[in-house]
Amino acid sequence: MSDEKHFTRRRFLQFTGLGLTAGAAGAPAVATAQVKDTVGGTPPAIAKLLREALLPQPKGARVVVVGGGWSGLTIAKYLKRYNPAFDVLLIDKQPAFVSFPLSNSWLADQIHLDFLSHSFFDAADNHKYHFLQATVLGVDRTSRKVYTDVGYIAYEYMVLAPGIDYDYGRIGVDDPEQQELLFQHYPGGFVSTSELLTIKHKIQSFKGGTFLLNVPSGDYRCTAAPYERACMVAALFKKRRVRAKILLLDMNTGIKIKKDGFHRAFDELYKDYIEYLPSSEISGVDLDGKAITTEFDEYPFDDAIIYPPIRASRLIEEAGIVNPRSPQMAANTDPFRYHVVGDEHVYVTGDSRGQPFSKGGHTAHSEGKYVAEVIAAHALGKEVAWRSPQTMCFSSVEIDPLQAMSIITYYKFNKQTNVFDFDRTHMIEDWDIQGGQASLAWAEGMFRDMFYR
Amino acid sequence: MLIPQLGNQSEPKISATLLKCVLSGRGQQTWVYGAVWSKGFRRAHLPVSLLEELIQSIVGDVFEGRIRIRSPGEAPLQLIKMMPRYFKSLCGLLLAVAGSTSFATEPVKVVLEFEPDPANGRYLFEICARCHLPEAWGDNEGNYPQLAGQHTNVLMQQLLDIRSGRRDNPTMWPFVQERTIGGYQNLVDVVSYVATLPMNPHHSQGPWPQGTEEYKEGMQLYQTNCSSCHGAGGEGDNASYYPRLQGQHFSYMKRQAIRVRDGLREVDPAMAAVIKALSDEETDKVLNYISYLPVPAKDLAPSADWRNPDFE
Repeated sequence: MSDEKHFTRRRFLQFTGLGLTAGAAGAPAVATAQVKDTVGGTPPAIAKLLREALLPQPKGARVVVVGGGWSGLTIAKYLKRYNPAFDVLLIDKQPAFVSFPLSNSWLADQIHLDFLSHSFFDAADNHKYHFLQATVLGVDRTSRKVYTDVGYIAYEYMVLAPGIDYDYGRIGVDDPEQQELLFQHYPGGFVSTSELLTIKHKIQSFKGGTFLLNVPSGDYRCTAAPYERACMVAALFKKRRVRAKILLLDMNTGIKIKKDGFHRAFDELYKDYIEYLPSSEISGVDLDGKAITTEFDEYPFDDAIIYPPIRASRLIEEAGIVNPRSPQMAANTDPFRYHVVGDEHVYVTGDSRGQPFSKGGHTAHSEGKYVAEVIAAHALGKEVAWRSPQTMCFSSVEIDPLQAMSIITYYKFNKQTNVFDFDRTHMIEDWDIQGGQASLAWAEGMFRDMFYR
Repeated sequence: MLIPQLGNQSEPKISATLLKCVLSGRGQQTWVYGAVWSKGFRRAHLPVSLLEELIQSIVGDVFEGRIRIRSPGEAPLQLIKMMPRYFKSLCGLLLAVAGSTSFATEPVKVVLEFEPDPANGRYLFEICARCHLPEAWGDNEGNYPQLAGQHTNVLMQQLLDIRSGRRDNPTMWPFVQERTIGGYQNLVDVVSYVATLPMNPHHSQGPWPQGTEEYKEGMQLYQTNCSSCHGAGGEGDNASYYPRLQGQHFSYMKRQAIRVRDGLREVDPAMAAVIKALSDEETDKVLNYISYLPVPAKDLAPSADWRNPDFE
């Protein structure tokens, strides 16, 4: 294994230390793992990591896609479509896929979990690529290898679509142990499936009192979701006549999207349930006393869903490709072609991307189709014209039957200011049954595209 | 799943006893089909699932549906028409009724007729407008076609093809299923609503305007390969199900052409043969020419800033 020669012990140690943190991606930065230099050589468990992963011999140029979310699944499928000669390998650390989009409708019993749950095997089988359940530990772009907990994999192209991690430091929780406790007791529900299941159980078993939700600051995942979630939780409490007050602490100065619609929903449908408090800059969480502190106030709660601000996945940092100017540690990529600056064999897509596009499933899906085309063209020495991703976002506000609002938007690059602006936005802020129906059909269509034929 | 009921629910269903018989299996087939033949098909106001089940059990699993929209003032069609193998299919039907399956794989073309209700279509278009937008003008990226101005038969055929899976469009597929959009009547209504919309006066065009060499080559290619069906001006033909091409986005046509070329979209064999015979450069040129075909002013919205007042 020639690789081991280049891989100095010093680098290996750095790499493993980072790797263990990455293994807990999604969770807060649990106490940095201490890897001690063992006497008498590398322990067998770690030596395993330095072997080549046992995979079928690639039949074409191998493209490794890291992360089986909306972005990675779409890219894996369309890479095979645009260049059937590619040998595409999708890696995800989760055993199965559960959709975050539409999960708020599931919280309010409008759909079953089956609707949101899909198998990576089906996706790989139907679209002729490979799936590997593994955790990516690190990347060596010089030798074009990606290191996982089952060994390394050589790639011709690599797409990093690892999503996001929480940034608890930005709500004043810096201690790793406190972060861990906060994550487990009051998960935000935007990174892992267990968070969603915990939240569902919380809502379904809530007996009454104050139920606290928050909207994070910054460029967080799924702009409308925290407001939608407040509506869905309120709808369920209302239906079951739970004597509850939903406290919605918004770290922003006002509702960030579908403003009139959400205000109207809060006022008309859930006046007795939702108390909306804008400009609530959260500065700390008291886990023992069950209270959230802001600059001016303290809010005690009986139960809570705490959605901290987010950052790009730690994997981006570990791969050494963070844009130093990005406040959320996003990747340093070409804004039109998505490759890492200076490396046209590594691409970053989805919610770790460098561009400020809305972080959500549909954006990742439409972007993914384009990026797959870019990579397929690159392999042939060609280029494809840039096209805007599209953001489609449904927000459910009423249940039985499900009723939703929607927004669709594109982006255009402003050459004067050098930033992307919204383009051709169309919003329907009057919720209705057609909207609810469309949201279900939309999600089904997306799942069909990513998993089935 | 709690799926809300949508749209015009007033489609008269055939009587409860008849429905029960149809669904109860083969024992009473003869009687049931006879009854449906003389009654239910007359206005074809059957729920789609029942209709498809019926036709499938008559002719096996091959069903080619075609929906015809009656123009205002036009005389109604007579009952059901079997086309084009009317006689053979009818024999097949009778044999199937008698218990034989020898004609089970013979495709039967069924023409059903509906009276459109654009007001119901407007209601239903709320679903479509989430992506297609209230103007149904499509986008420059080629994700969505310009639907406004397209022939109703063409739109209907696409809806049916996507519904049946013949045209592979996974993201659109759930939207055209009965549980989302409703039965055939609703499809007819929504198509008839789209037909009332004016077209986008600034659709996306190819890179070579009039006067360029590529434009001229595209024109020649068009006249040789395309105009006999799609018309000299790209106007298409509703009766023959030939799509109108004028006003369609260049980006959309290009994506579709590539899909047809790569065997990912099944179209009329003659159409597929033309696309496969053209080189990539020739395809670009001919689509470029098409994108510059003028659209009659009467079909256009007054400006690109026009917004559908029904959605204000």
